[in-house]
Parts: sequence; C-alpha cells; structure tokens
Amino acid sequence: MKYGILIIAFLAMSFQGFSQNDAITKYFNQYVEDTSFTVVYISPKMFEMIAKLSEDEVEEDVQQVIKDLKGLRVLIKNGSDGVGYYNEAVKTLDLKSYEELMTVRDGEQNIQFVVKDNGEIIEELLLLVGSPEEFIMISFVGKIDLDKIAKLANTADIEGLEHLEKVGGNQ
Amino acid sequence: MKKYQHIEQLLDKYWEGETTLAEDKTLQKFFTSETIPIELQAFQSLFQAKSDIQRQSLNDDFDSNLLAMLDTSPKVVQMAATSESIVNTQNIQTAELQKWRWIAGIAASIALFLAVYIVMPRTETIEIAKSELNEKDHKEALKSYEQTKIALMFVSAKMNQGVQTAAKGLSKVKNLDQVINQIEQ
Repeated sequence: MKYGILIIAFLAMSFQGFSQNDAITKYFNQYVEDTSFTVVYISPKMFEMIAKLSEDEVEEDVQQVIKDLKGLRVLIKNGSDGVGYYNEAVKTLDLKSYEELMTVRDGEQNIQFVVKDNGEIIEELLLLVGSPEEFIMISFVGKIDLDKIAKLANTADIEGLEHLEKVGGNQ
Repeated sequence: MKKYQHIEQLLDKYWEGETTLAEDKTLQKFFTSETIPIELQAFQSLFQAKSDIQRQSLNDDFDSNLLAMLDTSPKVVQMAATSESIVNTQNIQTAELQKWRWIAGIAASIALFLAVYIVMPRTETIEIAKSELNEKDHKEALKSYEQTKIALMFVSAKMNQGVQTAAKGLSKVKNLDQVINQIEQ
C-alpha cells in the first residue's frame, strides 16, 4: 500500500515534469471556452508528428527549435483591455517559481519573459504581452534554446501573430 | 525276395532323399511294370502318380503353339501387358510418390527460407510505413508546424524588441553620459 502511494506520487511528479505549470494550464483552460480568445494548444504527440515532416516541408532553423519542444499554448485576446488581462495573468500565475528573463515596457505595451530552468536547460518559456489593444500569453515547454529562438526573427520574414487564426483557428 | 530286398533298400534311400536319378527310374519301373508284393503295394500309387506327371511333359511344339496363340489372341497379350503394367505402375507410383515427397520436402524448406527472408523485411517495411504520417495526421502536423513557427517568430520578435528597447534605453544613457561629459567639460 505504501509502495502504491509512493508509485502514484512518483508518477504524478514525473507527469508534472513534462506538463506545463498547473497555474498556466488552469489559466489557459479558463479561457479555452471563451470564443473571444484565440486559443492554440499543441500537444507533445503533435510535436512528435511535426518531427516526422519531411525536410522540404519545413524550414531547418525552425525545425531545429521545434524538435526539442514538447508543448505549446497560445492565448490571444484582441481588442479590449489587454493590460487588465495581463495584470490578472501576472497575479494568477505563480511567477515566483520562474526566473525573470526580460521585462520591457515599451510605450503602453508590457512584455514579460520568464523561464523555468533545470540547471543548464531551459524547460519552459512563458511570454506575457499586455497592451490596451491586446493580451497575449505564449508558453513553450520542452528543451528551449533561447539563442536559436532569438535568431529566428532575423533569418525569416516575421509574420504577425494574427496569422495564427488564419492557419489554425481555435484548437 | 532278393530282388525285393534291393527295392526296399532303394526305397529307404529314396525316403532319405539320397537316390540318384537312375535309382529313381529303377523304382518307377518296378512299381509300374511288375507284379508288386503286397508289402510294397502301399507305395505303388505314389510312383505311378509320379510317372503320370512325368509323362505329361510338354510337346516340342508347345512353345511355338503358345507363341502362335499369343499372336492370335491380343486379349491374352493385353492381360499380360496390363498385369505387367499394373505391377510397373505400382512400382512407378511408389517411386513417383517418394520422388514427390522429396520435392515437397525441398519445397517446404525453400518456402521456410523464403518466409524468413521475405516476411522479415516486410514487417520492417510495414513498421516504416506506420511511422510515416497518414494524410490526416500529415495535414494536422503541417498546420501545427505553421502555428508553432508563427508563435516562435512572435516570441523571437518580442525578444529582439526587448533587446532593442534596452539598446534604446542604453543609448539614452550613453547620450546622457555624453551630455554629462559635455557639461563637465
């Protein structure tokens, strides 16, 4: 019985290790049903399938980053009071367990990058953007190489996040 | 009596199977021709029958007659032939059966080898095919790839924006430095 509990606890811990922060999942799920939000969730299973795409279907530098990812959640609210949602997110999410990577206030736009690392490897990258026009939350989990990600925007044409909706719509 | 003694001696030899052909003939002659004493009459019928059988010997023209008969009656020939052929076919059948058993055995072992060499790589190719995405999954994967790419691009752009903002701030500090320096000078 004791062993059973131990095993269950161990399994729960190991699952938590792979999944995104509970607070993020909770916050994310809070708005999944809200149709005024653009919601994208890409599962570890889907990342496995992306890895199987042939070389001519993907860009190498993008795939180099994607191959180590295990999960992606995107939450976008266009229009009203992005700053309000931003402040709510900062409050709701337990940001203490994260390490602050970058906080930028550019005009009325707030940008916050936080990461969760395991020694050398960054396991989660959370981006929060809040402005009067929009609120954006993006969370990556997996093995994250910030250098490679930072270089992506320099090598390719930057498409606005509004393309997400065109590509996938709500998932 | 003396004569009969001789016959009795010969008979004893005969029973032992030690008589010569000449002695056999003497016995036959005795039993078929002369008056036979009562004590020897018991054996008379035996030697008479024997001489009867010997008398029914084949004529000299028996062979030619038989051959002529065989020529004129194809049935007999056929019968002989078929009986021979039955025996032959039986022999051939058993021989064929053994031959086919051999061939079947060889074929079975070849089939086994083929099974090993063909089926084994086939299972591999099936596994490869399985690992490839089906059409629906492929579409989903492409879509997810595009979405992830856009999200990554956005994150990348925001990172650079942050760095640029920082650089802008730093350049302001630099400018401030220059202003301060200029004032000081």
